[in-house]
Amino acid sequence: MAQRLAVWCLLGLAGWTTVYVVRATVATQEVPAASPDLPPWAWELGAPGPEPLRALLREVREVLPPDSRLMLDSYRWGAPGDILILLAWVRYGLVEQRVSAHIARPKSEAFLLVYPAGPSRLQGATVVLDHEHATLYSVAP
Amino acid sequence: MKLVGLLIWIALAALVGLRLPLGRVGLGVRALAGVVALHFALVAMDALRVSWSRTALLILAVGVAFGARKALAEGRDHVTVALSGFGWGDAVALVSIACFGWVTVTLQAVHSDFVYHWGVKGQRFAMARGIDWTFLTFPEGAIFHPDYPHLVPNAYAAIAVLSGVWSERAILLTNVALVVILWLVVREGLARLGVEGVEHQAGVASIVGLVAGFAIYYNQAGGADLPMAISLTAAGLMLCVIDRASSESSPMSDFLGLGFVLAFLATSKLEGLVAAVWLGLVFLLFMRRQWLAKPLRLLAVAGPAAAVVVPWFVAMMSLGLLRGTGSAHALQTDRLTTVAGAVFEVMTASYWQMLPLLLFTLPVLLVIRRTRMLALVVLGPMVVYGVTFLTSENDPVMYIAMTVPRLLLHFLPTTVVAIVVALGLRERAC
Repeated sequence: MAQRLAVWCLLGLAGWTTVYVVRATVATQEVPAASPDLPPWAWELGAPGPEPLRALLREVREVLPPDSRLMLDSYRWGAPGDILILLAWVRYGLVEQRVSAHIARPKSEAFLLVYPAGPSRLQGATVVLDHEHATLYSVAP
Repeated sequence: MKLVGLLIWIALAALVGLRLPLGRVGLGVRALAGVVALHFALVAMDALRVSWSRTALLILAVGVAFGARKALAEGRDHVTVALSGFGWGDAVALVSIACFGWVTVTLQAVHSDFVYHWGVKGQRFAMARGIDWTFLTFPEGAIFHPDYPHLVPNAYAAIAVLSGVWSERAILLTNVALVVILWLVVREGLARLGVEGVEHQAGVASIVGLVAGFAIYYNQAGGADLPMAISLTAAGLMLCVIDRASSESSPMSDFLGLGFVLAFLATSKLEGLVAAVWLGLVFLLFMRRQWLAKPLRLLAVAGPAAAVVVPWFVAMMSLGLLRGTGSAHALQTDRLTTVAGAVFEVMTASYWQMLPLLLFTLPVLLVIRRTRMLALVVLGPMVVYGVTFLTSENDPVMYIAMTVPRLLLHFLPTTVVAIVVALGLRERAC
């Protein structure tokens, strides 16, 4: 009897984790589709998307170089009021680079790290943009 | 996506693992040992000022492959053993891994730490063809955690150099490959512990599903928490295997296997180093005074970790990069309810689907003889993390919200292993 109960407990756990994987995969797909074709201004002009995200993008744009283009790739909310992870593509000069904004709220400490997409595209610099201090650090190789 | 570097790296790790004198140790632990050995080779090359050029790495690969016919023959046997008794739990586990692989390739599960920490270091190391000490010591370098051990960025760099290009998708798949290794580790470990039949299959599906599910939900492609969780699970299983056979009759190869897994754990993250030290203490506790009579076994367990940790520690000390953990206060017990509340909130968050509540079984697992060691493996680092939250100068609620979701990943697979052993082992052993 005890052995049978133990087996059912383990089967229940296996079922639970299987449902977990399915729910996780489905939740991932609920993130708005990444589209490199999305015009960079789409989110800022009121395209579908949560208001906090659009507000954040406006903040992010403020610290990017004026000639840069920001295109939303994907984003994921953490717990409410917690962390926002934003992945985007930035056209920075002639190089299109991937960007992650890791925003810890409510402290509003944001930073962006831009790094080249591959050795062939190496421009000799890793750039750290510190939102809080609105400073652009260029790290020499 | 250029997979050639990743595939060469995996093949090399497996081949090196097969050539190590690890006896009955399974393919999963051997693969982890192979990764550690390759990491050691990279560190040694860097120390000797030998550039990690593609040519040098390919010469290393040819050197490993040279005369490997016997290892390959043994490898076939290991693969046969590793895949014997393939069942529904294995199929569920592989589907879970495939889901993680898919969201990784579509960049839906990129860990933010990959972008600003592990990935950027790996890329810099690849460009520098070695550990980029100048980059690590840069004044703004705190953002990259330059004090963390280098197993993960070294592997990324070597994969990129072997590919000839920094392919993010290929690099991110490293963690997917590690979950495949976890699958092997778990099915081999549970089998060696005597968990069979439906219990074995349910255990494999549960443990791999738990890790893959969280990796998808919480973006674990490209970070070091997953490697740490996997090596901690492997170390717990190896400890249990040695304990079950009684350390007296365990072959030396099992001790060496444990040593390589501890080395992997210690060089995955700083938290992994703490966990490895704790596991070493648990090992000594359970071996009691036997290690005095057989010091070679102690050397087999501690040697691999020392070989990779000592060079890192010397470098960190000489460059002044060890900066502490941000814990600046004395123990603040008045924070206890705040900390407990914040941790419970994370435990019941949607991305964990209540699975961390399994940690409440630990007191029971500590009482049961056959799972006591596994419970201790988990409880040690848990206490360390708890003390950190009670002493940190950071706002505890914010600190916990940012870190505990991933820290729970360190503990849960080993806890589920203990639950499977408690419920699935029909004989009184381990």
